[in-house]
Amino acid sequence: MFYVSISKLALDKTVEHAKSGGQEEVVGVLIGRVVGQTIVVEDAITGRIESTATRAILPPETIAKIADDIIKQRVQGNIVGWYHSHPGYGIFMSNVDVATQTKLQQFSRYVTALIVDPSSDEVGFFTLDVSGNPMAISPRRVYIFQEGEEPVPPEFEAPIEEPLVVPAIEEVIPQITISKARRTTRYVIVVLLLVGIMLGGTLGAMFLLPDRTPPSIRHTTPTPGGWYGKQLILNATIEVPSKSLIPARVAKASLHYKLASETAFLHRLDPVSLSGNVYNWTIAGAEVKGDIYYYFSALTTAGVNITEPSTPSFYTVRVADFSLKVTPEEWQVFVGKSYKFSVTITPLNHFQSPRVSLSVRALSGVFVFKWASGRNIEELSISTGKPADASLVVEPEAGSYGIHSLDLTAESGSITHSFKFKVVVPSFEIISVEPSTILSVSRAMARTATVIVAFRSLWGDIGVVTWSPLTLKGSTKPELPYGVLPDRNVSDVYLGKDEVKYVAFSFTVSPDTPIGSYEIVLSAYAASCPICRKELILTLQVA
Amino acid sequence: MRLFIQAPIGPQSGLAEIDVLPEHTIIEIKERVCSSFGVAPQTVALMYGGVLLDDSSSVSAAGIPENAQLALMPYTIIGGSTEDEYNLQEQTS
Repeated sequence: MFYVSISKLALDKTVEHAKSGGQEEVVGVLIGRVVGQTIVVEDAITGRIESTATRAILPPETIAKIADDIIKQRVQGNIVGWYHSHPGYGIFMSNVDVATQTKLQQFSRYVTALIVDPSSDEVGFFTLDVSGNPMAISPRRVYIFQEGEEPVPPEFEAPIEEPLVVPAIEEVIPQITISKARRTTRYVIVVLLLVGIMLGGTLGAMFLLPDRTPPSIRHTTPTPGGWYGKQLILNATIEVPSKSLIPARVAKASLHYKLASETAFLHRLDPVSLSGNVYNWTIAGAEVKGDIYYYFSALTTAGVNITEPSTPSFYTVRVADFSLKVTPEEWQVFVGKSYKFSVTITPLNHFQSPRVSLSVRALSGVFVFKWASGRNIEELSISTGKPADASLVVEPEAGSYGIHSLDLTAESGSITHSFKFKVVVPSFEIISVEPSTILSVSRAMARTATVIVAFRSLWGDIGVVTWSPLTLKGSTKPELPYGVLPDRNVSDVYLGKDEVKYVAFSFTVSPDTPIGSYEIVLSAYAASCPICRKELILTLQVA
Repeated sequence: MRLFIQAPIGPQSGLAEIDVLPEHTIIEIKERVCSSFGVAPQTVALMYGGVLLDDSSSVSAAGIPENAQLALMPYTIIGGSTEDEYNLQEQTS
């Protein structure tokens, strides 16, 4: 909860903007700072917006420009709220407004929504309470300051004490109604008693007054630490201190909590057991995966309800955990090469451990794994708040072509997380040889023969495919039969992922080449992966 | 490379420092900083130099230099004056 102090200029600017919009809604942000418990709004800015009569949007492009102006200090201050108009609809928080305010309150509780109805000149400031319900900022808590004037009046230094809202009250409305009826009864009784007192009898008061003393709730928070995945037991001692002879009792005791991922206290639990004045609640282990925020509420038979701690405060159980990430999540590695992946452990919620063990396995394919430390299982020491990194070198073994999933597991005490990442090991193949691998040439007439070979990449981007010099089968030297001249009209080809490329090879014979059949080896390989080699035997028949 | 992330909303600017690789994507960075700012990644965007950064783009493709200052901001700010049917998709897309 906060006070709001807005400069006259900023307020006029929003009202003028709202009026300029006519029947269409307008929207913008409030710029300023926070002084103590007061949001001081010094300026209102906007930009290109998208408007209809019932909707106004500040699009990401405009927000990006405002952010840049703030970062580069062309605009002095931070975003401390937003404003928009309700032309002719009055001042209230619509469900869209609540969603936007929720989004902004994620960053800070010191963010206010200013709503202007230009048709009636009404303005109002709003926020959301701890349950996420809209709440108007009382005009007593709003101040409009003139230029040169001190923006925070002395009365705004008073602590804001009263609770925003007690969610538990809504849940027990029937009891409250009953208690109101009782209260009426009480007044009647009081009047009668006054008569009684006048008559000299005060003793009866003790018997007849319902005891409206508030209950007391005492609770000690569990120690922060290894609660991850474990059932969390919370207990509180609830007593109704009573001087009356008809003492009030606890009618209902509840635990209200929200999980780290939630924005409101959505969960309410009844106690699982009670021993004396000690109430016990349990939160299931499946929910204990991050910090848990909670408070207690108790209602007495006299209809008095309190929360502990008083709203908007709440207790927190810190649940230690960590997150695991491998970067990049997918990478191509050639057989014969290796790649260094980076593994990051980020501690969450005060997690710390002298030893988080990292191990990796391939779900398919055969790989050699090397941790930068040289160990088989890497161990990281994590101190609170600081992510730690390890380097994992992955090397595919010959023949492990394809797309493979690798699974990295990090383990520390009861917490285990795993992260899957992918390694693409590319290769290529010869898919066709046209017209045939048998080429016929005649020394007298057709002295040239051509063959077209089609190559296709497999799984990934194999890169440049090049050729070894042509050789006769069985020979170790680059050598062709006497008088045969090769002619390749395409040089190296680049085979990207899923690509097919055609390469033509021609052979010309001279009139004096000896007649016969020659087997010529055509050997193609990827420049980045010399081991990915494909051989093709061509038969050259010279007649 | 090192980047700075600022969320200039509320009393503090909350400047965070983060080490990334040029091939890291914007969404990866966003997810990392969202946990330290305590905000839901689907409601916010990273912005740099007055421009919204595309989640799928890499740091290098987005042209972000070393030591750049990025802003973590709500994706949109939407006001509505009636209780009409509210499309959640619009807020989170």
